[in-house]
Amino acid sequence: MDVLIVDDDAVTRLALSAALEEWGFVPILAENGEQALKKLEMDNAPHLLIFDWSMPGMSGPELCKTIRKREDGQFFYILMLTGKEGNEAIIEAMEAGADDFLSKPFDHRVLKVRIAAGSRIVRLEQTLNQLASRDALTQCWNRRMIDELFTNSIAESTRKRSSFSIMVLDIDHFKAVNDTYGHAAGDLALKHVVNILNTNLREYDQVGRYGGEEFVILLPATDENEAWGVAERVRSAIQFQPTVINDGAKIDLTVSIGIAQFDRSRDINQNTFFERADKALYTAKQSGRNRIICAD
Amino acid sequence: MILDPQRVQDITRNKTALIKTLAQLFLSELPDMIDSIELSLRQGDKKALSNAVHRLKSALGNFASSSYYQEVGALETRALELDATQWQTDWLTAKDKLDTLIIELKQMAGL
Repeated sequence: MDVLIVDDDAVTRLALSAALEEWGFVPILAENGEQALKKLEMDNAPHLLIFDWSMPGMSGPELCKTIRKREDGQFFYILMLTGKEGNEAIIEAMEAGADDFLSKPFDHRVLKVRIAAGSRIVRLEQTLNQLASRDALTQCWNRRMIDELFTNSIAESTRKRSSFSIMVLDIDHFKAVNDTYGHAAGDLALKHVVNILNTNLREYDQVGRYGGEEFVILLPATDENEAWGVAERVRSAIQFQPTVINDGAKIDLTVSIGIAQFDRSRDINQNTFFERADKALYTAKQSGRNRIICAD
Repeated sequence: MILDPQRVQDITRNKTALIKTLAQLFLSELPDMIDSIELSLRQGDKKALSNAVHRLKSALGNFASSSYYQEVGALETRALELDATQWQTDWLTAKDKLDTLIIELKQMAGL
């Protein structure tokens, strides 16, 4: 696990860094609050943080407050180190947003167990986050998370003026699968479809289960024609790779897909955009299924 | 003894190379720390003086005995309520101890 050390003193940074490496952590170093905030903007930013209280510029408590104001919902466990002592300092640190507090000079054995406790909390939070954002059956994103990623993708596309498309995919006659083979086989079929999606999509595409057998796929930096290519790859893979259930029987599946490309002049919000793809899916279903239709 | 050898051993898990690296880093940073303290003192800038002493105290937290750490901590606090003459006297005392610490640290690190 990565640990961010924020301390203006080079000797303390080196001592902490060596100790953390010894205890199996990966230290990331910052000399002041501003550098720390930049490190926390990175992808895969550390979530376990050790701050010095007194630093030039932004102090430890100020840095805590700034981090706690973030609106992206990310959790950071903050351990504050300080030369200050007494209850007033503990209260000030905790009120600023620190989770734990250690007075300098501290016993490194105490730091070790405090860091271990912090890492357990970070891992627990990551597990909870995983449970809250993934579909339990298929392990793709759940509806809440894919909606959030959808919002972010629209914002990114607007900011970068890049193309962005979505696919709404529905398994054809899925009720018949459940009725014929049972719900356990239906679950296998859903997992099989997600597996095919993951194999055939690109690394930066995102898959979410939207409802029973309906999936939303976000395709960043993709126009309608490119989205069609991706959709056709998925559609044919599902058609020609049946689900194999426990007794060796094979379930043939097909899917219908609606595609829409984000259009700033028409799509006044996320719902409008989604509805265009959803209508295209409806048209695909109405016109015989096992096909792809692009939105008008 | 101004150095706390047990503390250095705890921090470094008694690894000779790490003791040496930490000591070298501290000794290379020390002249600048002392210059900052003495410049702030000459300029009568209480806030800068307190910050400069704080920086020294932070580094000492890795090596020094608890009593010497507290002594430097008191200098940091009293820098803000500066009685320059008394403060300077106490600083000279602290600096003498710092010289002792340097000798002890060099010995321990084999420098």
